[in-house]
Amino acid sequence: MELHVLIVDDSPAMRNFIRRVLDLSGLEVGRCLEASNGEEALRVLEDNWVDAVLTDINMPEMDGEELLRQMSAHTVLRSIPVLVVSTDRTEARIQKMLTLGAKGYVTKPFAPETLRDELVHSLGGVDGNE
Amino acid sequence: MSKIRVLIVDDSAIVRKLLAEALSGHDDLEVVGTAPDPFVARDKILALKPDVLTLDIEMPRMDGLTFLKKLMHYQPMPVVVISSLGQAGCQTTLDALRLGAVEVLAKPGGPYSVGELRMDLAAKVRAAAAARLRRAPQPAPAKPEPPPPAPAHNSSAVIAIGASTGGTEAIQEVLTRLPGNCPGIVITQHIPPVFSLHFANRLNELCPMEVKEARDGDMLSAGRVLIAPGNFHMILRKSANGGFRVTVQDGPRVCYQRPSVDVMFSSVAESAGARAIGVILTGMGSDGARGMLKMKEAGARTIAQDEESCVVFGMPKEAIRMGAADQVTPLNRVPAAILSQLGKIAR
Repeated sequence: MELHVLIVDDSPAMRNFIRRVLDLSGLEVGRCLEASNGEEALRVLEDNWVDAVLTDINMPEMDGEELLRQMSAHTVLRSIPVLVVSTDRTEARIQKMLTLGAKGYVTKPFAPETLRDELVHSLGGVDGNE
Repeated sequence: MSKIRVLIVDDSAIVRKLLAEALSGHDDLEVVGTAPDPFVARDKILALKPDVLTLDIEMPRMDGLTFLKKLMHYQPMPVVVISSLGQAGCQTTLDALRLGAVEVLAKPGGPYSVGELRMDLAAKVRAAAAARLRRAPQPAPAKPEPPPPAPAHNSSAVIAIGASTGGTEAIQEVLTRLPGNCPGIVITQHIPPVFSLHFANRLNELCPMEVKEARDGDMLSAGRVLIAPGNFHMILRKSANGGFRVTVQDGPRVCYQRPSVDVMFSSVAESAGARAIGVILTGMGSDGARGMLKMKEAGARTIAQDEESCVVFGMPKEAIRMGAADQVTPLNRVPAAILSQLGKIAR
C-alpha cells in the first residue's frame, strides 16, 4: 500500500524537507500533495483522497488551528488523521491542538525518525510494509 | 457488451477467495482485483476504476463506514455491502445503505450455501452496476414531524409495497410520511434474513405506525406494518373475523427471489381485491410486475415509482410495460398518492 499525504506549511523549504524525510523514511509514500496554508489545504482535501495531513500552525490566511477545526466539522475530512509539525513547544498549545483533534504533535526541529514514528502512530499503527 | 468490473474488499483471505470464485464463470462479470484493507482498496480503486465494489463493512484499521463516506465523497461508485449477521453488523449495514451503498449480502459461512452465494452475489453486483448514485450521502435519520392523520377511509383497506435495490431508503421515505392511523401495510423488500428484522426495528423507531418483521399468523390491522422476513415468502389471507392475517412460509424462489413481491401481490389480489393499493418501488429485475397486474385486474389501485427517482428502474418499469400501473409517481409523491387513492376505496 502507498501512503498519500498532504503537507501544509507556508515555507516551501520546510515542505520540501518534510517530503524528503518521508521519502527516506522507509514508508511507501504515494502522492505527496502540498498546500501553503489552511485555506489551500481544505481545497486540496476537497478533491484528493489522502491518508494523513501534516500541518504547521502559524500560517497566513488560515492557520493550522482553524484547519483542524474545519476538518473536525466536516463529515468526511474529520476521519483523516492530522499530525501537527510546529516550532511551538508550549504545553498549552500542544494540548489545545490535541484537543482539537490532532493525532500527534512533532516539534521543529525534529529527528527524521520522530516524524516517521509519529506519522505511523497517527495512522493507527500502520507501518506501510504490510 | 463490456463486463462489469468488480473490486473485492475484505480483510479475510478466505472470504476474498469465496467471493471471487462466486463471481467467476459469469460471462458478464470480471473481478479486477481484491484488497485486504481500506488503504489498499483506495489505491486499487483509483488505479483500476472498478464499476462495483464489494465491501466488508467490519474491517480492522479503518471502519467500513468511514471508508464508505470517503469513497462516496472522492470516488462515488455502487457498493455491495458484505456483512455479518451480528447486531452490530446489521446496524452498520443499515447505516451503510443510508450512506449510499445499494445492496447487502450476508457474509458467506452463514445461512447461505455456496450455490446461493454464487447466484445472489452475481445478481447483487449486476443490480449495483445498474444503480444510479445519489449525489450526497443522506443525513442521519431524524424522526420527522408526524404527518397529519389519514383522511376518512375504509379501515379494512390494505396497502402492499414491494421493492428491491435502493428499496430500504425508499420504503423509509414513504413510511415516515404516512400517518399512524393508516390501514395495514404489508411490505416485501429483497433483503437477507436477520437484516430484515433490524430493518423493521429501525423503521419502527422512525415511523408513526407500528412496524414489525412478520411472523406466521400475524394479524394485519390499521396502524400496523408487516415486513416479510428474509428468505421467506409472505402471503396475505382473510382471517375468520373478516380482517387479514399473514402466512410466512418457505417455498421456491419466484423471479429468483424469496421473499418475492409477486407472491405477496398475488395473495393481496386474491384476499383484498378492490380494497387494496399496490405500490412498486425501485429495484432490479421484474419481481412484482405480474403480481401487480393481478391486483389491478382484481380492482386494486396501483402505483409505480417513476424512473427519475429510482435507484434502479427495473421492477416499476416492468410493471408499467405490462400495463399494471395506474399511476407513475416520483418517490416524494408516493405517500400523497397512497392517501389520495385510499379516500377513493368504497367503504
